[in-house]
Amino acid sequence: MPVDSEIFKGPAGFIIPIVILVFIWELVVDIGLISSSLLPAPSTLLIRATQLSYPEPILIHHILESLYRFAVGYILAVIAGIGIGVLMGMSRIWYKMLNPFVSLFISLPTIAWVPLLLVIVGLGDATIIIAIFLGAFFPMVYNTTTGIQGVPQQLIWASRSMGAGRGATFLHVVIPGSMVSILTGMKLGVGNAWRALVGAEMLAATMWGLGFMIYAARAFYDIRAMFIGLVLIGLLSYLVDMALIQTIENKTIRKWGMVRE
Amino acid sequence: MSNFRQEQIVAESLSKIYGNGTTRVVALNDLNLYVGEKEFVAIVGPSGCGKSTFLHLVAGFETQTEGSILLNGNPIPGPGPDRGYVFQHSTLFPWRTVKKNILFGLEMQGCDRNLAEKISQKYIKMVGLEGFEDAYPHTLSGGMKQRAEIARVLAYDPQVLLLDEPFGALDAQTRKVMQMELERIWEQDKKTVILVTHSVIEAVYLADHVYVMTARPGTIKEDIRIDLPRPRNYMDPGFLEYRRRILEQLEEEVTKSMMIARG
Repeated sequence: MPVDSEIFKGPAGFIIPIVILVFIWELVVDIGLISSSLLPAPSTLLIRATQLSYPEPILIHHILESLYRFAVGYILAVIAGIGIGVLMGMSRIWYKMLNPFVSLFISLPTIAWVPLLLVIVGLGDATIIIAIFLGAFFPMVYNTTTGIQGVPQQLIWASRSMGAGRGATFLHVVIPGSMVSILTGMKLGVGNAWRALVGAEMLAATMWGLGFMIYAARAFYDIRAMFIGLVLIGLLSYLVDMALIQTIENKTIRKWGMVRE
Repeated sequence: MSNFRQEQIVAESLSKIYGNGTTRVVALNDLNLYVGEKEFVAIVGPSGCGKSTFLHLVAGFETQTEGSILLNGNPIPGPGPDRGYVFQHSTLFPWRTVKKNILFGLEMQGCDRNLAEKISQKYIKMVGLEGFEDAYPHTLSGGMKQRAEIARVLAYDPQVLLLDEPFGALDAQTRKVMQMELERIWEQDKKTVILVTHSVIEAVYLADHVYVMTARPGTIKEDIRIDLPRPRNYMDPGFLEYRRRILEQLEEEVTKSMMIARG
């Protein structure tokens, strides 16, 4: 069957496979192929989600707490990551000085920082936000640096020969010229930041957050709440990617033809 | 005769060496070249002979290892809008529309907005890109991109045009049209032009002087003055005679450069 048929175009292409999977999942549990105490059916997840939303809006509180931590940690990481990346991309000396650290830390799982942060900073928001920051920061630095280094020399020469100074060339040529890479860093950063968030919330949160919710549900054998947590984390990460990264992509590098469709 | 004309670009004993030790490459060696004001000069030579390197030095993108190069009597201070550069492959900014690309030089030099607008319109019209003002470069054909590139350089009115195989990437038909276009533009508002090209026909068609360069390390082998009235005719016996002479010179060097490549 040709996968690129009309039915898979647009948002439907994303939703249809999920609907099919959910349907099979429901069926498999309902006819008793798998025990519902190990794999709760989607319908019972909905019921549990309602219980967690009414009368007390517990679920939304968890979501908002996680989103808040994500926003603070991620935005700081993007700003700092672009800043350091620009420094390393523009200056050989800074590149030589900082690159060893980026190479060392970029493949370090962010969750490995958390025990250390717990000792230094303690339980709570600060540790979680720092973990999110660290998760997004290194891919941001790396991709900004390579993006800037990859701007074709001829574009810079063209700009300089048209009377643009170094500052103007940086602003009008180097930055847009490295947008493809900067956006890759932002996209990888979103994924890394969510992973860091969930892990750090399990270890460092005291009351709220989706990671905390999943971990706390374990103590009560509330498998349905754990599944709800998993689905929401995936969904939120996807929505952030859609709302933020893809929106910026469509307004910049796609419009400019800098990536192939 | 050359004592009476105004020299705009004077290159003397110019050398450019890249790398050192085993990576050392002598791109230009003891090159001497003079370009008069409003003169159209073409440089032909085998691949890798340093033609583009010379143009980079004039543009101020790179600096020479030895010798001197003067523009209006002064050493070249770095890239500047008094020299416009057209590259072989498009350097239009993908994030700017055709019009905004053409406005770039004017904007950077602080030109008045309304005036810049008028000038950009004039050059968009001149290169036949009306209707494509708001198009992004990736939607244009190779020929259209190159025309936009030329308009972008002409718009801020540099004294000197440095053309680095500007039509090399175009198909034969578009190339011919662009050559005629360039001739027309040059006749209209005379500028000093240095054209680097692989095409001997292009050189003879457009240039007052054709410099033939040697194989690497590049230096000037011969300076041939093209004494034909304009616009020139590809079929004219005089034209063909110049072409034959230059090709002969060139062939020797191409053979040599292939020997160098083979080692």
